[in-house]
Amino acid sequence: MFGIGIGIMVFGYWRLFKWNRERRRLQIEELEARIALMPLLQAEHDRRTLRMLRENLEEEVVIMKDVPGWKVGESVFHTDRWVTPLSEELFNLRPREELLHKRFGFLWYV
Amino acid sequence: MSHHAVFSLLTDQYKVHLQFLLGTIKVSSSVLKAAAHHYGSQCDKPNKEFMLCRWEEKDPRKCLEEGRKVNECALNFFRQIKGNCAESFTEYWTCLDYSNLAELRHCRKQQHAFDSCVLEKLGWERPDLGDLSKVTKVSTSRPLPENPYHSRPRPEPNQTIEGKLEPAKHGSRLFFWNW
Repeated sequence: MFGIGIGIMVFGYWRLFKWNRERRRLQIEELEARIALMPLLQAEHDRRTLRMLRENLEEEVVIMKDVPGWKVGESVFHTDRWVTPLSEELFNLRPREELLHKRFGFLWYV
Repeated sequence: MSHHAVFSLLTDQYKVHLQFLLGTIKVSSSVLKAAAHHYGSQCDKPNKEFMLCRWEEKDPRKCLEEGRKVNECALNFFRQIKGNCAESFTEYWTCLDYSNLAELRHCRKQQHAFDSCVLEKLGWERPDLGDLSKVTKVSTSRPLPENPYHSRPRPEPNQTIEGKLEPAKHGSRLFFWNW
């Protein structure tokens, strides 16, 4: 009796491990799809960021024209390396809906 | 005028990118995921160069040329698929689109059809499992940037203490201890 029970359990474990290995292979395949697509997405994201920064700069020139002593596009940091802009900074002059889409648009959870 | 000077400096940085306001690839995510494995093996070279540039320079403004090549390669890739294997590819990605998470395992039949079509018409082989995540060496003509973080020069290290060192009077003086 015990033999039958233990036999069934061992068989169940073996099936479980096999399926887990298969799931791992499937997960690797899906992650590889993501790896393959990353350069494309990164390049487009970079272009979009730079474009939005450029538009913000042009708006800033227009808006702060009459303020004395204002350096357009001056960095708020003391360094001159690339600082990744915050979404709030990028979407500053756009409707708030776009910022909310950027921040909360893609969620795995609810 | 000071602000004009700063503005012209920044336009130099940004005017490079104005040349690259290219057409983006207007396809949806399931299309990209369906073609991802073949894209990874075909457009491998410009992709790897772009990622290497991006990760070394840590500055997207310096990698716009490589990004343009990535975009070109992707456009050519999709043009070739559209020209040759359009129907099987459409079936494949519509099947992927149907499921919530675009799981590749539900669409094996269409995947085989697409793979065989691409293999016979264009000679592309689907990379085996684990091929796309292998570590590769990329050779570029771009020199390695020194100081990509623009750090300030490091301070001098402490000089060696000359003279006789004696133990502290009254012990360690660390909070409550005096030994």
